[in-house]
Amino acid sequence: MLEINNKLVEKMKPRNMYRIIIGALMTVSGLVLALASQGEAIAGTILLCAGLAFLITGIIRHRRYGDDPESDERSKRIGAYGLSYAWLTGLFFMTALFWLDYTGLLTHTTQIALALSVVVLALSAVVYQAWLFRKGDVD
Amino acid sequence: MRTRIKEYRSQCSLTQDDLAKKVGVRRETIVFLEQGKYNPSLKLAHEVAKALNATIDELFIFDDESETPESRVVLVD
Repeated sequence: MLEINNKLVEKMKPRNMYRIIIGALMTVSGLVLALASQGEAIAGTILLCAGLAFLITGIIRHRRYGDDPESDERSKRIGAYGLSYAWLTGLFFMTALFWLDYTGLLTHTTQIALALSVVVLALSAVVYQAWLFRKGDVD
Repeated sequence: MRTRIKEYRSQCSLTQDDLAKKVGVRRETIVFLEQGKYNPSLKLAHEVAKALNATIDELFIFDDESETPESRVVLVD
């Protein structure tokens, strides 16, 4: 059992190990803070959620990539192109939002405009990158 | 572009994973390279050729569509 654990730790990249350790610490701290605080537990909740995100990310990345490289020239190229396309899409979307609001065709609050823009930017980045990864290259 | 990476890889008894580890890329990159769907950088092409004991010219074949019999220059003594 000890040998298996040693092998697991040996193969894990330091980056993922730090993610898991920091995530675990943040999760525990957030839990303690949330339980111990009298009244508002918002800080503890945020710390708990952030800690869980770190922890889960570390575990998923270790299981998915092991000691293989997480990124190489192809993934960096596709990542950069995907983000560029997403930026352009976000720009067109925000421009459209502005003109729709300016002309009175579709009025919205700042909160809604920002929320929609964030969703469009994030979603388009994921979609473009997924499409380029499936295609193989940016050309 | 076509590649002969799979052919040379088989000769060297390497899996895609082995080759990927040797050149420091992900296995998916080797998959798309073999299919001719990914244009590698010169550095990566060189690393792959070195790992397979071949030259870049031997591994990567570009189909020159613009070459016609009329456009070929023939040198005569």
